[in-house]
Amino acid sequence: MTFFEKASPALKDTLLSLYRATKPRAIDQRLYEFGAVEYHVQSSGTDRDRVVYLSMSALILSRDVTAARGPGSVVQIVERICPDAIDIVKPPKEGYQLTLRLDFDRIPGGKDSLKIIGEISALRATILIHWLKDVLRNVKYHGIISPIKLEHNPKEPFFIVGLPGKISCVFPMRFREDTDIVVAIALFQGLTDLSSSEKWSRAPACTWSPIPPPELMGESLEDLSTNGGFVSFEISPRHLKGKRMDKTVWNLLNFHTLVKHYVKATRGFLQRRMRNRLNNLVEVLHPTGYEGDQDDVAVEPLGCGCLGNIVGVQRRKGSRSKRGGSCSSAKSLRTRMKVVAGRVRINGFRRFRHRWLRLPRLHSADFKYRKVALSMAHA
Amino acid sequence: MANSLRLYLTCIRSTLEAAMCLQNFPCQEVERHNKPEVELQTSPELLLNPVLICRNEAEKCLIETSINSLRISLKVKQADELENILTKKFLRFLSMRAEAFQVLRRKPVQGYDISFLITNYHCEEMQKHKLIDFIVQFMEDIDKEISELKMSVNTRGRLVAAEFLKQFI
Repeated sequence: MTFFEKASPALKDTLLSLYRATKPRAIDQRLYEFGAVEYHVQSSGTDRDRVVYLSMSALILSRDVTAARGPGSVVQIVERICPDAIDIVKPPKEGYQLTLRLDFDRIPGGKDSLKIIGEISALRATILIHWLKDVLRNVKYHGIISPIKLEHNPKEPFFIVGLPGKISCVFPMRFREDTDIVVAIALFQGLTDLSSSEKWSRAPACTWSPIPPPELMGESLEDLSTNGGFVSFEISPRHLKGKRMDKTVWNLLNFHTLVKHYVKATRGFLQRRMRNRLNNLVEVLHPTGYEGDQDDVAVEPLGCGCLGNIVGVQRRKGSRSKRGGSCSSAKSLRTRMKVVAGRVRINGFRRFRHRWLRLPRLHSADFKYRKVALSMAHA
Repeated sequence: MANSLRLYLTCIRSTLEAAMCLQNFPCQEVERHNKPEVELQTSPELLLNPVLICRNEAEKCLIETSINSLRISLKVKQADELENILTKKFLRFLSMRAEAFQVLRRKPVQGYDISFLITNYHCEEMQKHKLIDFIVQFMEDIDKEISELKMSVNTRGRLVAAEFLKQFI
């Protein structure tokens, strides 16, 4: 799970580009992550100070948690990063849970700046981790408690239930397609098998069931209706000690993301494999193989390629080498001159000219009268 | 190869060898048209009796023959849901690229997973024994491919699960 970074990569890039800019730059950018998280980066660019407003949405772990512990803990976390440069704007912008005022002039230079911007980008994850740690500690202390619904990602909530001597985390799994369900079930099967083996006895026990576990009895029907079943992890107190707690919390927050990533990667793997197999099958009939999917392989243009792009001309690789020698150079110069002086042919221009550029025949009045006079004389 | 599969494929090969004696035959309904009679099915005198070869309930092969064309429909075994999805996905992938095979039908006959249509022109262009080899090879490869895909998906799932659980230890 270490491959899921805490810092949002897109937000980090945006903030770094603003920080490195020599002049204040106007920006009004919205960044979306995981389909529900939204960041809004705003800077007027007119101030003398380089001030950026950063707003975050989906900064909710659970309704109770946010209301009870939210503001105080957020202030503490923000103050730990860089109190001089970061201020919390109250009230936050409409539609967001937190708005920060970042003063880039007050951020210390050098390597510290990178670290601070990284921490700002990871602020949402840091706050959520802090809150989830609190929740787990609370559940551990109180023992048996009713399910707490955690909605750090509103589309993918999960539940924490206090049981005697352990905490159960239940993830309702929802997928868009049948293929995704089947692929994900292979992962859940792997988790269930491994966690029940002796080698992995120290890992939390994992179970998967297509029906809701009894701990979730009494929850709303909407929360309990899934197409991918329910995955439960039984977290024991040893998983909530010291550094292990950080990893446990991070794994729980990112379990849905891991499953999605796994499904996407497996589908890509299947597609690659099927394409290779297609070639093998076609080779039995036609030894040359199938070239249908290779249409988009571009011919590498010679030179900068811009001429080819505009005119749609593909120069052959050997064409330049065929020309050569003093005689041919004179000839090629003549040819080039002809090309330059010659008429430019544009496909379809004639039709266009006929239709739209029909110029009126402008005869002189003198010519007209002469024509009339001639006809009268003939008569 | 399993003994039952070998027998099944040998039976299909022999039937195809007997059935693939196609000749040019103009359409009797439309003048100056030449259509695969096995698809039209308008003239019963031009059709032969269809042959159904079954390995078991889940795996069968239907060979329909006419004077100028031959239609082979296959039903591939799908033991569980994963195999079912993988088979559907793979055969759909192949059907969408039917032009690569020339003899593959874009839509399978109802009740079957994939269908081939071989006309007398195909027999003239490609050699008859090569076509038969292709069909038999295709059937072998599909089975092998589906089981390999299933194994790879399960192995990947297990590996990812191990990596995930490792984080807790």
